[in-house]
Amino acid sequence: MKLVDVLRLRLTDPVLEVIWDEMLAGWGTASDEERSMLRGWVRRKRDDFLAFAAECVDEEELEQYAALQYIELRAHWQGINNRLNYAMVTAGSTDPRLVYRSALMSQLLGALEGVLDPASVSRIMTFLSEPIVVRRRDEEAAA
Amino acid sequence: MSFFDPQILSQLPAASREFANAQPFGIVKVTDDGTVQMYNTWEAEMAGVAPRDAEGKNFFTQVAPCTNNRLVFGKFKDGVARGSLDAEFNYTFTYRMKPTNVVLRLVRDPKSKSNWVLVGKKN
Repeated sequence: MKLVDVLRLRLTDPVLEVIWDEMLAGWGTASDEERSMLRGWVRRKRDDFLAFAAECVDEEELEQYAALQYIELRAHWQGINNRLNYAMVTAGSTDPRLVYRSALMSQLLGALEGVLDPASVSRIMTFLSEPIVVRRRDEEAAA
Repeated sequence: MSFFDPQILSQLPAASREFANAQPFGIVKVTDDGTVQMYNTWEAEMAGVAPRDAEGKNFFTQVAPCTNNRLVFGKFKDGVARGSLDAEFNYTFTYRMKPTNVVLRLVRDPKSKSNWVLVGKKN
């Protein structure tokens, strides 16, 4: 099976949509419009990626692009996760829109992760978890 | 007021899996680098991760990557480096699970040099 077909299969799996809907249903304080906007936001992220995947005829290019998309989503998710949790720690509460955005995005990440080579995922996660450590160590060594 | 009986802290170093599984909150025992040694059933059910899938992996980077930041993993690493760790704070888990508000307690027992992540649901 071609990578584009695997991606389409995984990312448009009805189970993913069900999980998104179940998560959004748990957002008790939201209006239907807020839920719909967030659902549309995460779907657009997926659909934009799949649109390029459909156009890309080079398998290796697509593999690289899928990894780049994973990096972009993962970095975005990490930023949202940190933002919502800094608010939790400092103020004791956080913006529910961030909470549900983070949760929906993490499911999309999980679906994409299942398509990528595990060694590549591990390498990406290691880099994204400590992107500036090398610089700090260099600075310490130079001091 | 904490989400568990403070006396539990003194029992943690000798805690068996049966003891941990009997508690109404999450108990995760980790090595100094964060590798999970014990993951109790409450935590497994809350996170949707089976103990066999969590044990042997790094809690902060692989099992609960939403804790891989200075707020949690940084605090943990600083505490391990100091040889002293006892911190409790509010947190929200969202990674591939229903968003859940929790209280996290990071503890190190200096005598046994064992580390614990305790997780309680926040009402």
